[in-house]
Amino acid sequence: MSAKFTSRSVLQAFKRHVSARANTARQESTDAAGLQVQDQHAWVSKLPNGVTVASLDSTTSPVARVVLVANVGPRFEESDQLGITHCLRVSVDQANKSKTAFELTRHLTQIGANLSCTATRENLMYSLDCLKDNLDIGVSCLVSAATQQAFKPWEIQDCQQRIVFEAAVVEQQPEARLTEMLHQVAYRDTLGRSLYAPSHMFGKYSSEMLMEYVNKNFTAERMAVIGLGIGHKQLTRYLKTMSVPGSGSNTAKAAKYSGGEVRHEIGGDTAYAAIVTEGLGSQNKDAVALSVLQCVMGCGPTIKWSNGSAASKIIQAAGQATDQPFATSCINTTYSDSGLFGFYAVAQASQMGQVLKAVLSEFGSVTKNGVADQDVQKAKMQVKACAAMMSENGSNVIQNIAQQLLSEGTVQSQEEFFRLVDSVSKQDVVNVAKKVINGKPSMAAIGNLSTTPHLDELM
Amino acid sequence: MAVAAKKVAVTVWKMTLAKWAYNKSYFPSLGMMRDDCLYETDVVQEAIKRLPNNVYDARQFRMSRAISLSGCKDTLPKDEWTKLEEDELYLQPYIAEVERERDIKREWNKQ
Repeated sequence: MSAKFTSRSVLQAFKRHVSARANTARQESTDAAGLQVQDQHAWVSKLPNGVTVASLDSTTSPVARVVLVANVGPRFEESDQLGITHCLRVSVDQANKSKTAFELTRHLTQIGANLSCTATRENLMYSLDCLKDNLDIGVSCLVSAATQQAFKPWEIQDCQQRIVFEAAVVEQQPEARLTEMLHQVAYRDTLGRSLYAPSHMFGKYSSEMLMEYVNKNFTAERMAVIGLGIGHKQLTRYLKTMSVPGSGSNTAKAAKYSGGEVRHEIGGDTAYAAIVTEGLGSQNKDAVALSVLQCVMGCGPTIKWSNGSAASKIIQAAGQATDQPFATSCINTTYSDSGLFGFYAVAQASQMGQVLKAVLSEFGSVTKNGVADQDVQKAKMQVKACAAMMSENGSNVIQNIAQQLLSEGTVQSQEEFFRLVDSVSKQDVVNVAKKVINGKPSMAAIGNLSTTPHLDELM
Repeated sequence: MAVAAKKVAVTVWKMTLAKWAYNKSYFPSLGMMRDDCLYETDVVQEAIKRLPNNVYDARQFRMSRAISLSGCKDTLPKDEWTKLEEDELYLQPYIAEVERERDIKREWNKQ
């Protein structure tokens, strides 16, 4: 599924839609719940310190992956802590309480492992890839980097340069800026907080601020460790000495969708716009039907370099409105309790108005005239194929399991997901379309906006 | 971090001798602490870079005051001299950390 114009959140939409609401797991043993995930057996249990541990045995590959995921993201930032997750993410390799930065790097290079930190709006994932024989050192590095941060003041100062650089890179990418703008206008705070630090916070992150944030948010019930290619007893043994920095429980503020419009004129040849309404959270029972609807509307060309009008209804509609290059894709971003559903479009500055009107009328016609049976069948196959293809990659599997464990507490197998997709009927798709597409819209636009209509002119 | 707070069991005459030797040293009469006078090797320079801002500013003030006094061949009034009990070895933890990091690097680079 390679759209000509693939932004991070389109891919994330697919990553997240795989985690629809799960059924309960089969009890296979007394101390760990066993579940069938793909053709591997997953075991889930809780450590004495309260952290959930899951492991999947994979005998084919010599590589083991361990992910420590914390339900900490820009969503939980207060207004005086904007971008603190960005700072946390770039300081993963700094000194912690048990190792200096140099030791951490040398240990990892000695065992040939990769340690990285990925941030989504809701979760922070510290991932380790290493060979199965080196897991003892690898996991100790991972746990020290993720839970025993020391935040030495002079090292935090050095990190600020990285933050400035990453923010500058994002500044150069209109698609990334569009995603941030879209979330900000749709949610304002919580999910509207940006993944990247704002310029007024450069150099302002202090050791105390970071320490306080970690101690408040890294609590045991909001953390999980998932191992792929490692036995459950082995993983639990390595994690025995893990201590959780935070204590107490704090509930997340519910994401409230507001809607609105934001535009940013930067000139150039092209215009980028996104129009969404509130979608569904991953725990909503109609989330799978919404994924099917997304594929009905079209997610970009399925054949590289083709114009995609055979595969995508919205590309077909926009292609009739303009003969100049454009790209458009339906987006379905799912978070644990809310989501965004709509479309992105990129077009030449002079054509943007026509493209947007054409795509919007396509969405409107789904609510009025419904969808064809073969479109629904095609979409269901696409959803299943995309999920299957993404699960070929170990790191996708483990990140998916991580997010599912945190938001739902259990892991859904691929067969279960396929069954849910197959059970979606045409009526389900039409019902969810009516429910979602008729909501309050949000619009974000960036680029040369000379012919881009405002939201009230489009609706 | 205040090493002065650590109570060591020392006989009275040793303490008297220590105080006498401290007061005979030049630097307390200029209002400096012992760690202000350390020769700035690489290790010490790195440790100074890691000082928190307020400690660094206090250090700079004491050194500037001492330099200007010494330039006039003058000292502070007797009651403003640094006392042995007030002297804080503030730089030692940072020096220890820098040295530890260097040892670790040396160990790794040996292999």
